[in-house]
Amino acid sequence: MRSRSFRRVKVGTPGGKQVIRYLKRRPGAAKCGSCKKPLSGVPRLRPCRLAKLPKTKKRPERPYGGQLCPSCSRELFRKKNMERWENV
Amino acid sequence: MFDVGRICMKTAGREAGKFCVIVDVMEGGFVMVTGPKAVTHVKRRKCNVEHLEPTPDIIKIQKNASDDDVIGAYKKHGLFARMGTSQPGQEEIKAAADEERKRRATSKKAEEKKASDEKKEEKAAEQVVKEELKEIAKEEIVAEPAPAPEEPKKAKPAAKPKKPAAKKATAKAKKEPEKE
Repeated sequence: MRSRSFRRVKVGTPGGKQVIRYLKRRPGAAKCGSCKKPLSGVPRLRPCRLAKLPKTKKRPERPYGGQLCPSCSRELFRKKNMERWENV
Repeated sequence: MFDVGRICMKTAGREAGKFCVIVDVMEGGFVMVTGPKAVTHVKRRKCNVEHLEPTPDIIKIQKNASDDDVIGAYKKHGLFARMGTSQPGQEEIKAAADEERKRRATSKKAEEKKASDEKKEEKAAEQVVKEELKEIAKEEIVAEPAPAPEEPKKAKPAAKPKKPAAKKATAKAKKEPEKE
């Protein structure tokens, strides 16, 4: 409990005191599947907290949202478009 | 490249990866785009050209063509298979059109409500201003006669200052609404 595996959060109590609370560490930021850049729009929360969020607050609305960064997903769509029209 | 009738793929936003047609070209690198929704789930909307990827296909449609016209053009050019979609049934087209109609009706109602509310507010504000101006005019008229007793010898000039004061008040009343 006193090791650094828990993060320490200072909390003000109603009595005016400052108390240290020991909380579990938050997971790392979600990363893009192809370029490994951290994704924005994906909250850094423990799974129990994530489950309480609505779906729209957990990832961007676009296809591959929360998996690929916007620039990578755009490239992917571009490639898909090219392939599709070359094959047909 | 981005002319009316060009088939494009959207590369950004929730409709990314879906095909659409350019229906109108607007200023500032924007175009009007439609799936139509019954065919590719792309709503008729304004779209930045940077968020589109053009394809080699062009269909012949008029500027601001309706969704039915676009579907007819798809049929002529045999594009449903190439876009990876099937030709929508009458029910799907109807459902999409109904949705659009409902959305428009609700937005129209909201707009009308807004307009009427604004008019009411304006009228109320005007009335308040008028009442205030009246009060100001009254006060000025009441305040003006004070200098009159200083010149009690001539009755006529004493009566005169009242009128300019009233005129001033009316002039103010005319000027102030313009500022607001």
